[in-house]
Amino acid sequence: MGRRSKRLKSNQLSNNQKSSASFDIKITNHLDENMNSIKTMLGEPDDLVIREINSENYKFAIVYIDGLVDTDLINNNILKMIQEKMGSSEFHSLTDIYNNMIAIANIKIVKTLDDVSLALLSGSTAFYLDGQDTVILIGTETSEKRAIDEPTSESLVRGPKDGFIENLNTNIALIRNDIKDPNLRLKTHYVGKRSKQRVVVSYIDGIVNDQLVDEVNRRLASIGTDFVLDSGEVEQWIQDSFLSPFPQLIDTERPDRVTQALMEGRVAILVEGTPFTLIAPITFSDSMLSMEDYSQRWLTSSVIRLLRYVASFFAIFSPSLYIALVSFHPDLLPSQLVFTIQAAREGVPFPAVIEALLMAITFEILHEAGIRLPKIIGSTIGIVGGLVIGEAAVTAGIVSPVMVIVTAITAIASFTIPQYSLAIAFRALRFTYMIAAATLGLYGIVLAFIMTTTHMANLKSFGVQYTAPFAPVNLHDMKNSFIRAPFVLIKRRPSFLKVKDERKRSLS
Amino acid sequence: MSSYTKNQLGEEYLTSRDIMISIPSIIIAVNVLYLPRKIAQTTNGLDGIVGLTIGLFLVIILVYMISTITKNFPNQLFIDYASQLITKPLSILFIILFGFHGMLVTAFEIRAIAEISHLYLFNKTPIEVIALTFFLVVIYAVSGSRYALFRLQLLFFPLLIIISLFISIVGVGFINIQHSLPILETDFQGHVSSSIPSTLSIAGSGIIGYFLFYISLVKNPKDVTKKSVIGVLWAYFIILILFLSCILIFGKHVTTNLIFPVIELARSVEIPGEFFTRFESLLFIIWIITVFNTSIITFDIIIFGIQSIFKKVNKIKLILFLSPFIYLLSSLPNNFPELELVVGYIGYYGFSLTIIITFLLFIMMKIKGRKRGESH
Repeated sequence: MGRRSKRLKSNQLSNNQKSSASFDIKITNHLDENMNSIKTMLGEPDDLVIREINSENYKFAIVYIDGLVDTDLINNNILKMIQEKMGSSEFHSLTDIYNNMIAIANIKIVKTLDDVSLALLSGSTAFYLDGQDTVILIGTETSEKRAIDEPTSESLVRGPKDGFIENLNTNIALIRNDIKDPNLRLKTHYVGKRSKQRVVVSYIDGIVNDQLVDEVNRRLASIGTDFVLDSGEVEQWIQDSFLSPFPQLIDTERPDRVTQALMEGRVAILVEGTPFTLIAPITFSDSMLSMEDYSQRWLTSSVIRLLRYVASFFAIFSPSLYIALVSFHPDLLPSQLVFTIQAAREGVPFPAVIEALLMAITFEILHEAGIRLPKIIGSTIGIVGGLVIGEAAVTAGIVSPVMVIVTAITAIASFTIPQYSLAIAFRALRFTYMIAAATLGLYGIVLAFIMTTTHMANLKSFGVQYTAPFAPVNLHDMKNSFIRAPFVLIKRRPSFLKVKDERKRSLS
Repeated sequence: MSSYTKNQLGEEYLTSRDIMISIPSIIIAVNVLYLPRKIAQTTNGLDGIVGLTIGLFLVIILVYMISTITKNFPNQLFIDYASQLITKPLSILFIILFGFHGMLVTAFEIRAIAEISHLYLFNKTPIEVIALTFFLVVIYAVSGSRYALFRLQLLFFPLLIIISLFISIVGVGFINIQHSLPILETDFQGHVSSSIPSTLSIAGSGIIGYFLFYISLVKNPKDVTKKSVIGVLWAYFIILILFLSCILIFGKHVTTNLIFPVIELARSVEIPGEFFTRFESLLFIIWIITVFNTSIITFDIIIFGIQSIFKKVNKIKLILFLSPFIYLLSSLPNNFPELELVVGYIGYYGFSLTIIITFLLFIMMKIKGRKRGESH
C-alpha cells in the first residue's frame, strides 16, 4: 500500500508539472493577443462568448462560456454597471473596476492563462482590460440543479427527509444548516487531471484526530486519474484494501448521517456531481446501523439492531445451511423435518447445491433486472419473478418448495441491511459459502466463516480496526453498536476514533 | 507531544484485558473434550475437583511468575529480556524449544480436528483432506497481523462461553445426584494421578508459557498479573463446569468409557423444541473455532520466536517453509489413541519447559534485582 501510494504520488506530481508547464502562460498587455490565446487554448468553441467593447478611451472584453453562467447577472451587474460608469472620471485602472464597478461579491484578480481557463470552464466570467496584464474573474456560476428530494437509497419512517443532490455547494449548505460550529472545516481538493472536480474534505476541528485528516488529504492528493465518475470511484482510490468485499467507507445520501459522523469525529468527503457523500473511518457495526435508530426509543432501536444482525446471518448463511443440512447432515435435523424436506424434494432432479445455485442466480438476475428496468415496467418484474421463483418452478418439479422458502428468506433478509454496499458484499459472500457448503458441508461453512472473520480482523479503515468495538473490545463503545443504549449512557465519542475531545455531553 | 501519543490512529497493541480473554480461549482446545474421562479413570464421584483445583493453583503460581517477569520488562521481546537474565545463547535455545513445542501442538491439534470431524461429521471424506483444509485456514490467519490473531480470540470467545454454558444448563434436567457419590473416597494415589492431566489441561499442554512472549505486546502491562490470573480462573471455570456436567449426567463409569465425554454430553441432552437432534455435531462445529484459536497461536509462536532472532526474515516465506513439516508431523500418529498418547507427552514436555524457563527467569530476576539494589 505504502509503496503503491508513493508511486502514485510521484506520477501525479510529474503529470502536474507537465500540464502546468504547457499552460503556464502569462497574460500580456495586449487584449487581442490575450483573446487569441484563450481561443487557441479552448479550441474556439461555439459557446465561448467574447464581448469586446471599443471606445475612444478604453478597450475591454468580457469572456464567458454560455450555459455555465447566469446571463442576467452579467448583463445587469457587470456590463451595464461598467458601461454606465466608465465614462465618468472614477475610472483609472483595473483596480477601480475591481473596487467600484462590479456589483458581484465573488470576484478576484489572477495573472495566468491557466487560472483563467479553469475559471471559465467552471462558469466564471473573465474581464480583460487592454493594457493590463491581470484579469478579473467574476463568480457568475449557475447550473441546472434538481430540487432537494427524499433520499431514495436510504429511506426511513422517522427522521429528516432531505437528501444530498448533485450540486456540491447545496450539499455543503445542507451540512452547514445542521452544524453551526465555526470549527467546521472544508478543505477543497481538485481531483482528476482533466476534469478538475471539486472534492471537499469536511471535519470539525477540535474533535477530529489530526492524523486522520492528514491521511485523508494525503490519499486524496494521491489519486492519479483523468477524472472520477462518482464518489464510489474516489472511495476505491482511497480505501485501505482493494481486495476486500467489505466497504471501508460509508456512502450516504443523508445530511443527518454526515452531520452525526462529523460530530463523532469522523471525516466526510463530498464529491462534486454526486449525491453520495463518503464517511471515514468506519467499522463493521457502523455500516449495520440506520439513522432511524437514533430517532426511535432506545429499546425498540436495540431490538431492531439485533434483528438486523440476525437478518444478516440469514442473508449470508441460509442457502449454504440448506445445502449442508440436506446433502451432508440430514441427521442433524429433527426426523419429521427431514421427512418433510425429503418428500418435498421428491422428483427434483438436481442435488441440493445445483438447486440452491439455480434459485440464487435466478434471484440475483431478477434483482439486477428490477434495478435496470424503467420504473413503469418495474412491476412486471415482480409478477414474472413471483411466478418464476414461486409457483412455476415448484410445479415443474425443478426446485423444492423448501428451497423457495429459503430463497425468499434470504432475499428479504438481505434488504434489511441499511447500507446497500454492505448488502451487496453479503450477496457475493453468500455464493462463497454455498460453494464451501457444497464441498465440505457444515465443516466447510465454519472454515469459510473463520476465514471471513480473520479477514475482518485484519481489515482496517483509515487505521481503525474494522472489528472495533468488539475487538479491540471497548464496553463503552459497544453501547452504540449492536444495541443502542439510551443517550444518557453514551457519554463519550467512539474511542477507536482517538478524538481530541472525548466527551460528548457537557458536564452541566 | 505526549498528548498525541494517546491519539495515535492505527497503532496496534494489546491490553491486559486481551490477555485475560486470550488465556482461556487459547488454553481450551481438543484436550478438554476428553479430560473428564482421564479424571474419572482415577477418581470417584466428584473428587476430580480436587485434582483440578490443585492444577489451578499450580498454574496460577506459574502465571503469576510469568506475568511478574514480563511486567518488569515492559514492551521488551522475550529474547531481549531473557538475554539480560540468562545470556543470549540460552534464551535462543529456549526459543527454539518453544518453537518446536508450538510445531508439535499445531500439528496434533490439526490432526485431532480431522479425527473428530471424521468421527462426528463425515466418515467418507479422507482425514488428510479435512486436516489440510483446516490447516490452510490456519495458515491464512497466521499470515496476517499478529494483533489480528488476538482480535480473533476476542471475537470468538463469546462462542466458547455460550456453548459451554449452554450444554451445562440444558443438561441440568438430566443430572443424577447419585453420580456425585461417593465423595472423598479417592486415595492419595488417585488424586495425584488425576491432578496431572488436570494441570496439563489448565496449562494448555504448556501453552501458558507462550505468554512469556506475548505479554511483551501489551502496551501498558500494569495490571497484567491480575488480569492473567482471572484469565486462568475463566479457563478453570469452563473446564470445571464441563467436568461436573459429565460426571453428574453420566456417572464415573460411563464417562470412563466415552472417548469424548464432552461431545457425548451434547448428544445426550435434549434441546428443548428438538430442532437439532444431534446437537453434538453443532457443539463440535463451534469447538473447531476454539481449536482454530489455539492453533493460530501455537503456529505463530514459532514465527514470533524466529522473527525475534532473525529480524529480517520474510514472514510469508517462513510460513510456507514450515507448513509442510507441520502437516507431515500431523500425519504421523496412526489413530486417535496414539495421538492422545503423543499429546500427553507433548504436555509433559511443554509444561516442564514452561516451569524450567519461568523459574530460571524468575530466580535470575530476583538475584539480578537484588544485586542492582545493593549496588545502588
